[in-house]
Amino acid sequence: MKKLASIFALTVLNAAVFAAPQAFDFKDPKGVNNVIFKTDAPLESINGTATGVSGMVTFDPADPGSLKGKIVVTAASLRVPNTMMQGHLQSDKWLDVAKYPDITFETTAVDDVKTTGNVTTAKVTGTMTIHGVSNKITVPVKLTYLKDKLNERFPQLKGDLLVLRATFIIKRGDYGINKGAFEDKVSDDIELTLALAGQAPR
Amino acid sequence: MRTSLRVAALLIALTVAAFWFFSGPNTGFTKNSVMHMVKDPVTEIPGPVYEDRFVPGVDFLGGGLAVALVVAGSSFFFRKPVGPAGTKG
Repeated sequence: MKKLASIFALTVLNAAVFAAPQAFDFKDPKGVNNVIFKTDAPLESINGTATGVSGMVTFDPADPGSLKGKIVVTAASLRVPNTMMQGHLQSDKWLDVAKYPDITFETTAVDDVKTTGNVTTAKVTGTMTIHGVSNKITVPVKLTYLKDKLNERFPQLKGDLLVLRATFIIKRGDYGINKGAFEDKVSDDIELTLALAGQAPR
Repeated sequence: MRTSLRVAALLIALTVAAFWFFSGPNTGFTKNSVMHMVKDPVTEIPGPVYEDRFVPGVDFLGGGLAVALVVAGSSFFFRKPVGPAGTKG
């Protein structure tokens, strides 16, 4: 009887451990994590990327709605294919990366959660801070939980991966970036596409 | 001198136009690098990889043609050579 109780206790403990929310670190040593930004200009769309991504997200596969966390993008990691344009983008006339080094998004609520297999979609509300200005926004997010896949990326580690994807549009004017100015040269709308993978080693 | 400047202007215009055209006629801005995406096999996340390559854009083409125009225009500051019989050649 005592043995049976011990086995039961171990099983419950084991289940509790595996059901517990996991903390995923989004600083990717391989540097694949990226944010693509796209905006319209008279000659062409300006496409750029930012790869300086970090942050922690807590995710429970048994309760995806409990998702919470913060993603940080280093503003100086924003890159466009034209060095002069990149200089302008990072200067005090636009993003002022020296004064505002980080772009952040911190979750406050998760709604409309739907899970099919290892894929969860949800509407995540949070505080987006760019150029020192914070706004509350809601973005559609797709999460893919890859159990025990960490060692396929890093053979020396065991654990899980969480892939986060989101595409949404923000207005630069809402973040005090030349509000109402130069809209004939650079559109107010900026489309952001996030493709990030977080790792939770065990 | 007039003729030399005009020939130089023509050569500049042709060289700039040919360089722009054969670099892949890029109708956007000049680029110092070209980005392509490489997919991570595990997460299937496409990550950006930049290759340092100069791709002239329409700003380069316009600038080059403007220089050619200035060179051709400067030829008008030189007088036509005068022939031995006093006729302008």
